[in-house]
Amino acid sequence: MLAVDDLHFAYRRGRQELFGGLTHEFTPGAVTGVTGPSGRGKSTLLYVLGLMLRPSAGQVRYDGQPVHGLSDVDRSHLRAVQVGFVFQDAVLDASRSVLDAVVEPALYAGARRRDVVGRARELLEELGIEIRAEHRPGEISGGQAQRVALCRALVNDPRVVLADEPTGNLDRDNADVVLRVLRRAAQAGRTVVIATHDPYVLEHVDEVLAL
Amino acid sequence: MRLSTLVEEAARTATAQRVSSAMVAVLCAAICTVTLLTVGRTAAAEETVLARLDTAGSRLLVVSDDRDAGLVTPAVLQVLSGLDTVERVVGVDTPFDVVNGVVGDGAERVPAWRVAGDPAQVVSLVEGRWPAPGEALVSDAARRRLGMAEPFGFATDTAGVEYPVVGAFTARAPFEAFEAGLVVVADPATATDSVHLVVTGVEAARITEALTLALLAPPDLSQVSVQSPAALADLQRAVSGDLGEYGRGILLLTLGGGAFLIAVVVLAEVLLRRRDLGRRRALGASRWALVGLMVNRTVIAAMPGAAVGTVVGLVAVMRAGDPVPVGFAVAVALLTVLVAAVAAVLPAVLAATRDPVSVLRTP
Repeated sequence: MLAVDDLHFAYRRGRQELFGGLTHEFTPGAVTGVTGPSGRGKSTLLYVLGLMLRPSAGQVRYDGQPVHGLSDVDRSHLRAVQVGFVFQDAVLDASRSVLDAVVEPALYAGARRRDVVGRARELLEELGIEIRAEHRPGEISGGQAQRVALCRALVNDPRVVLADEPTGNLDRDNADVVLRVLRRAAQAGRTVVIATHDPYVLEHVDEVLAL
Repeated sequence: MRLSTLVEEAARTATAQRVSSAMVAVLCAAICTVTLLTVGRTAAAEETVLARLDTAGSRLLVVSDDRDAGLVTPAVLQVLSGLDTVERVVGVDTPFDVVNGVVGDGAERVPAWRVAGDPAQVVSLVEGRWPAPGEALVSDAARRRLGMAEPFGFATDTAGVEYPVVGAFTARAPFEAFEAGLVVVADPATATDSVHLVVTGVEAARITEALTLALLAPPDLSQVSVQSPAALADLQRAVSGDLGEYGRGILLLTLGGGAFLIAVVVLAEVLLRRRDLGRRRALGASRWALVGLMVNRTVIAAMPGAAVGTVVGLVAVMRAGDPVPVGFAVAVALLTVLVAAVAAVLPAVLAATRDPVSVLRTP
């Protein structure tokens, strides 16, 4: 359901072009690893797929429909409903609780907080951190924070999960937990794309897209 | 994002980010207090001055028929009493001396005014009955000077005409001068020397004066003299204008300065929390949702500040002896919250239009 056609991107007009006309269909139910040397646009591709950047040329398709021309409101709604993001360092709000962090994307998707708190607690329990639900990010470990980020990415039951170096700051045990969760997400029929340069992560993906 | 969710999320954010919320609240409190202590006191002073200018004494218009040409007829009084700009109207003759009729010549003299029209327009009856034409009411002070034990008997003028006294009165403002003597009800068929009009407001004096002169229609304007509060109306406008302009200037300065400082606080928060705002965009918040969140959280922080500042300002001005109308204080509080919301818009738009990717990427 997620594909790119003849994709080009440049941060500024006249600057270095990325992707060189990339055309690719991401397989639902599989974990795709995007890899390549630094500066080739691994993270940028994730942000283009996640509708946070518009391609200079070519298009991104969701269910066969080009989406790069949608308005900001429509792109934001699509992102909230269909895409889950996992960043390298979790990016949690230090002033809010773990539970608030997990609930947040559902609010942007139009849900009421009280309707989604149950689902958020279930996810936290699945990842073994329900006991930390009322804690602040400063009170949990890096591995726990990344698990919170995974719960946040999955709370809206998205069809696409985009992870930018999700294990970059983790030790091997915590990296295994993250990879297991992403694998389970793919097995549930989601399209999972991981940007990484870590060979250990690439050993755990189903497909590799080298830039 | 639902509106109710947006407001709830804004409230949670305002509670979580205590420092910037407290700064916005303190600024709003300061705006309200300063406004009430300056503009509020000015408004109260303006109201006091205008209230003084609007007393009955300041609204008395007197047109005198200086040559006894019989201009102030009962018909003229009748027409004048029907004008919208006239609250009360009576015809009044030049006062003449009377003595207690029982004592006769040699007794102490007091003044008496012959009044045409309804005597209730100028005095209040405190004892006895309303007099018929040719009868009189006496004030308490005049009764004592005349040596009357009760406000009943008769008074006599220098020509020997007797005026039965049928009761006592107290004068209504602005006819306090009548307290010195008697009020005699005039024959309804005769003209009087002058017409006394209490107009509805000093601003109505000029038009009422023109209408009265038109009704009296003197062949020569030098035949009549006019004591008009029209000059007071000009003074009222000048005072109102000067105080109003001063108040508006101070208000604009206070609100403008406050808005600038609130905008700086919100902008600082936007710059400090770029990653937080980028995260929200990545998780699906639209630009408008971000603007709504920032503005709402500023308003939520501003409300308690405005409430506290208004109460403090009200107490301070009350202690200073310049009571400010509560409606004015409420308006100041609402205006302050509105100013805080407007001040937050520009930094919020800036936050919403920043590239979220650049702040989310880890080098």
